[in-house]
Amino acid sequence: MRKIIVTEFMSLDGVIENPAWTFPYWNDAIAGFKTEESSAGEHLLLGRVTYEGFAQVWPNSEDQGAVYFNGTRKYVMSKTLSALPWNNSVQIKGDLVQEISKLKQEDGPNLVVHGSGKLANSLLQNGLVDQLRLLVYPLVLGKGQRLFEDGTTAALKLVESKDMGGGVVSFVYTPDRQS
Amino acid sequence: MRKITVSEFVSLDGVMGDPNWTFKYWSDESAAFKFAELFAHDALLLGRVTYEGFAQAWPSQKDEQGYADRMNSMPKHVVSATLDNTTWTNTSVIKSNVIDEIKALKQQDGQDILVFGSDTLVQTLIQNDLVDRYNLLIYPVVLGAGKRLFLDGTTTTLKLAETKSFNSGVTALVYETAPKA
Repeated sequence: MRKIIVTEFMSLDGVIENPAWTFPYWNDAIAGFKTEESSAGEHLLLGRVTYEGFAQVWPNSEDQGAVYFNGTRKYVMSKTLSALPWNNSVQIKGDLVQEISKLKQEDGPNLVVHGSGKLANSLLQNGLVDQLRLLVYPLVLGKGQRLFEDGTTAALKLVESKDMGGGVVSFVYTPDRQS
Repeated sequence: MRKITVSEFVSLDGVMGDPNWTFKYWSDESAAFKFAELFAHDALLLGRVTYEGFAQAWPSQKDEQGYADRMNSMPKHVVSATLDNTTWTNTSVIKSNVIDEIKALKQQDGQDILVFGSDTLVQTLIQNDLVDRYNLLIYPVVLGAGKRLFLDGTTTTLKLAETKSFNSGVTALVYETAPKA
């Protein structure tokens, strides 16, 4: 079964939107954390807004991750998207729970969700997330898309938390299915 | 100058507060953290609701390490225009001129001042740039509703002073705010 891994850059007050605010903090430990989740041929699962943003940026990027992001299969969850400008894209239009459950049943690489706030929330609300990876920044932003919207609940198990340096802390959680 | 530490139990989605959902995560490690925290401060600064809850619960508590003794004996400053019942040992009430009174407290000699709970007071402290440190225990739960520590519109840059993970799944995050003039 394929796992769904949600990975986010997050402010201390839970904002994940447009994480340009992470750039001043970038360091080797953070690069290592991101590399862990961006290799082994994992596929991407994205919402429309993140997909469109990535599709603009990654094809022209010389970043370490560019070969992976541009090459790997990306699923975009959207009923309204009318073009798929990014290499190796597949659109999913149907019911989220049904379609994602079907995808998970397949054999294949894991599905990694970056950004995609609305999609991430729906996945969390429907118990479809197998791993949650967070980089928490020492910032309170006060506005923007939050990872956890009102009404989203979860019981989690902490796998690991590390000081990434520069004030950033990583968290890796799995769902606590016992609770 | 004495510093003000805001100490809170917080869910992963930033909800403060009623620590009922925290009890099952209690561990020797987090107890040690809380012990060190209390003994680094020599006064409490509380809002009325938190004060009243504590004033009911703490007087009958006793433990070998002396945590309860310290909670019961240390000075408590309660911010409230209406509080009448101040039977908890060593209580004084800040009824008016709240910001000035708190600033005066900080100017006194002594160890740092500790705030627990007190969501309304904490917002006042944040808005008036009176918080020097956050001691946050992050619990592995997403609650989906409740009062957030950081309300919409609050913006600030912090410095991570310390992080510790406990086997219970709880992570301590200690942040300092920008140095005050």
